[in-house]
Amino acid sequence: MRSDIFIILGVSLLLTLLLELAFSLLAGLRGAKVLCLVALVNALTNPPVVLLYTLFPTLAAKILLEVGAVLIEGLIYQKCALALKRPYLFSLGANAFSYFVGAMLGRLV
Amino acid sequence: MKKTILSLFLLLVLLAAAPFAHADVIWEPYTDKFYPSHADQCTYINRYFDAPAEVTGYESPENTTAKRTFSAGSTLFISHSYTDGAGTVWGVWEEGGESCWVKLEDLKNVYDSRDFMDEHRAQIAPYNGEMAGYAIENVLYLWSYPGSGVIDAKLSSGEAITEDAFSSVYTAPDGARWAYIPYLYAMSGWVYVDDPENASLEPAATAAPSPSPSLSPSQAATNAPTPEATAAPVSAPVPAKKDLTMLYWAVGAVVLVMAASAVLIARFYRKAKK
Repeated sequence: MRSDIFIILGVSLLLTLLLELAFSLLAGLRGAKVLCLVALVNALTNPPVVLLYTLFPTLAAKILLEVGAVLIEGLIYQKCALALKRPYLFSLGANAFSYFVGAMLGRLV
Repeated sequence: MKKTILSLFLLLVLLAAAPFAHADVIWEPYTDKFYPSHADQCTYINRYFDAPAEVTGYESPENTTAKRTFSAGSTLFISHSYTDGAGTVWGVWEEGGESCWVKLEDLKNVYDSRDFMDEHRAQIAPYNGEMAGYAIENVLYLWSYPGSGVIDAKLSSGEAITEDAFSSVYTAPDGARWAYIPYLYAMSGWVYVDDPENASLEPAATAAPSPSPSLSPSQAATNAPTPEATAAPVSAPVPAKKDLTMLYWAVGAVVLVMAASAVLIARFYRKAKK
């Protein structure tokens, strides 16, 4: 186990939260409650995805983990954010956005 | 209008993200400036090398500004290799936020389990129940490779182990058997089947063939690890000298965050139901 695993987990979560909240605002979501839900959903899924990928860094595991995260997040949005009309599409878009922008930032830094 | 913009934006993002097959942010804190922009040209090798003499680490394969020096006798962990236009194979070393590139021709690869498996393929067969019924009594020792005399990891009696953990078995000329664990609790190694909890195995006692490096550093760099031989994940470059404590703390922290998030999300769910 890497000694900087906690840094990896922390930075991943922070970056994910910032990017997905940004995406939520761009998508027109407003209100502290729904944005808080977005933050909680990502706090729920991002750490286990990052930790499991650290332990099993294969492409297959990555795809599986990310698909799982999108589905779980979509389900939570469906059950809890009734005003969100397309919860799974939102989840897919938010995750794709956070990864793509995160990857770009990683190359720039 | 908002929906149209959002749809177009989503389409663009998905198309652009398609090659990566990813979602979410997984931070890879490569401090190295060269690797991120050349990742697709790099090969994952994930192995240790020794420095037979003083070795210089450079800024990058394209910038030979000396960055640091490794003394003779140092052991370097190289995660990825890159071949430049002149055919020189470089390896990236990274530790504690510092990184540099070294020429693999200056290094000597450390003979490891992967080399052992390449040399002894004829004596290695799929696991066939050789460890059936075994349960850890005190400590199970995982050796670097049969006859190495080097213990890479240990499992205590509190850790469950099933036959699924074993993938193959090596049978030495004198009949000694070793079962291989490719990955268990982020560890890998060989178990001496006939006496798995004996920590005092000497290389001679197991009658395993004497190891000798079989690959030049350049050959090692071009041999991408097979699923059978891979000892450790990309993002965890410590093959078997593990500290389980770090893993337990990490799992604990993740579970704590997940639990707190789940409790708060449950409140949202109850409110939504009303």
